[in-house]
Amino acid sequence: MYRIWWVAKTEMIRMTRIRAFYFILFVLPFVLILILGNALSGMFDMKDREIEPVQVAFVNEDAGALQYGIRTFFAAEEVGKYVKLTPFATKEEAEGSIRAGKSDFGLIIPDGFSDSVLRGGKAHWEFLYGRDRVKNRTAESVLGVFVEETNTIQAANLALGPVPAGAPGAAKHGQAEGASPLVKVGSLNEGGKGVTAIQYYAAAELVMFLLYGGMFAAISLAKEREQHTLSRLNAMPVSPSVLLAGKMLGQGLLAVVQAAVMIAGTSLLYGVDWGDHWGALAALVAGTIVASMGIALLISLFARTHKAVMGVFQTIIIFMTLVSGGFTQVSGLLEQIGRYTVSFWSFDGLNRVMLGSGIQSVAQHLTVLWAIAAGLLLVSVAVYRKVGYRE
Amino acid sequence: MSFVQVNDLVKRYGSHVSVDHLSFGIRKGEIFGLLGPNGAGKSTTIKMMCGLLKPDQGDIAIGGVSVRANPLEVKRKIGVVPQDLAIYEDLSARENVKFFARLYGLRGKELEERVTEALGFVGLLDRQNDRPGAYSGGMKRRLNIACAITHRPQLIIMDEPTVGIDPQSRNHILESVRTLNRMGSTIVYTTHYMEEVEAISTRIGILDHGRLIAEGTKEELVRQLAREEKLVIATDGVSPEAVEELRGHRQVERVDVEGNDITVYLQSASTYLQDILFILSNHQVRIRTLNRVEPDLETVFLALTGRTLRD
Repeated sequence: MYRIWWVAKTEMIRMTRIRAFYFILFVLPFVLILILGNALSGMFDMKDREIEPVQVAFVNEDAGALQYGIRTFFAAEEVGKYVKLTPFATKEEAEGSIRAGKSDFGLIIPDGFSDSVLRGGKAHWEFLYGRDRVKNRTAESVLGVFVEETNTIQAANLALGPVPAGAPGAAKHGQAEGASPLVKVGSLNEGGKGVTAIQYYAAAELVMFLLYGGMFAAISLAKEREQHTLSRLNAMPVSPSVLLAGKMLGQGLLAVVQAAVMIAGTSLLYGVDWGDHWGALAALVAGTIVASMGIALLISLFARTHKAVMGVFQTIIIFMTLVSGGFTQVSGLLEQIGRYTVSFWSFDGLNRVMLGSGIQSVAQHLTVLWAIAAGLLLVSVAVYRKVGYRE
Repeated sequence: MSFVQVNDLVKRYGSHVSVDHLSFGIRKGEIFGLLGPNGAGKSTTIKMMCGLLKPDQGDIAIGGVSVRANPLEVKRKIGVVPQDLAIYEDLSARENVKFFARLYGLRGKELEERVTEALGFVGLLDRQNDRPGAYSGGMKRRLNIACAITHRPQLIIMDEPTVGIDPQSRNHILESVRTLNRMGSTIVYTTHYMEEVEAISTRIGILDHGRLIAEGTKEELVRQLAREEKLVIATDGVSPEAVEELRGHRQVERVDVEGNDITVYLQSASTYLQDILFILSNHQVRIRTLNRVEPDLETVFLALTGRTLRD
């Protein structure tokens, strides 16, 4: 352990002597997060939308016993807030109004609607959809309440026996004290946490820079060959595995420092919320570092020069970041490919931690990430046993 | 009993045999100069001694320990000064020496003392906190040596430690080698510079095509192998007839002519000097200077390999 520690410590000292090290550690991640977070913030606009009232062309062909209930329903304040009814005599007129853009939506209450319902049939209103998808959805949601409730009562009638005839739907629409409102507008973000562009890219850049930690380890291993220090080290009473372990430990510790700087820095500078599951966050960071060191070991055993290492490693990092959605959100085939990368499981896991998802949701990511990391390490060790680490 | 015993060593690279059934011994306390032209198998032999390469056949024992069976134990006994500079440019000289010393297991006060000792030994104590980037080529070579001696190895293997440096640094390094030897280390020294081997080696091995073709002290090698002496004669003008007659002399092996200089290779210059002078005077060749050159290692090397050392 003494030798491993000194190899690790020397590795860290040598890294700190590189001028670019401080730039990479303290400046570059923050600049990238700031640039990407601001440039692509439009993709992450999560504000609630103001719902405008929908102009509804209304044709009532029914003159049955449920008219009272229907009128009461339309007169309710919550309904009136979202739909404004304009009566038309025929369906064709209503359609014409929608086509002309005067109405956003159409409602036809068919002839015999009340009779059908009172006979125990299923309630059904006809909707005419306009051009605006949001307004269609709004009108459908508000007006659908009456039909749904009527059908619920019908179902209860069939199951439990007849209830006093009158006005299905109107029971509640009369707004008895303590009754639930007819329309309640909620927020999908309510109670949860949103992902801003800065949050998103803070996680993406953290994963990317942790992988770059592996690249620095691989470069260091390749440079030992190029600078001939490896032949001296191999001629010393030290097993190559001690050298490798020491170098990985040194670079791994620097990656931990990098992660700490990025997490603390983005939290302070950009207000990034890294969530409350600090243990899961640490485990994700550690898993990513181990995986990147596994990749580093594997590449350095094959690539002979540090330039070759850089070329291969950068290609891998950029590809993994791309397919895992680290540059911009991806879908389809890229997303599917991304699921086989370290970056995806680490990045998605970090996002879940940030969003405050349950620990079970993150546990799957941790399991897969650590399985990949362990697999990479095992393969690297097997290859090392076969080809060795020598000049 | 040899301190280093090389037994029937073979190393092949594909169909090329780099080291071919090589056997020799080095006694404790010797400075063993290993000579050979490029591609003779010196570096491969050295790498096998250090445990950097595994032999295809045979073994090397250092201090009675087999390199093949106990490489780590052997590595504790040796210090290697590689041909290429093997130092970290981003660490100071002291940090470099300390790092390698730690890997040899040195710690605490002993570590600090040995590092100071090694840096002092190579004359870098006053520049110990500088990084090698600020050093001359010779200083870097000396640092390369310091990194190999902190643990006071019983055997120091130096693979061309003076390549590309100024005469002052070379002298410093050669003196260091002698001092290390006096302090008790056995030394294996390979070089392209014949004069270095002549200056410091107690015994010499000549390697060619992966085989040891001669071995002994410088005097032994010269006595056994260099039968020729040479006369270097500077004249005012060479007569072709005189050269022809010199070549016809029964004791003359060879005559080379370069400008107005004639070099005559013969078995015994002192015995046949009068004959040579008589032939030249017969052909009215005026002699400006005449030098009798005794056989040296270069002559031995040339006689054995048909090449000069730097070929």
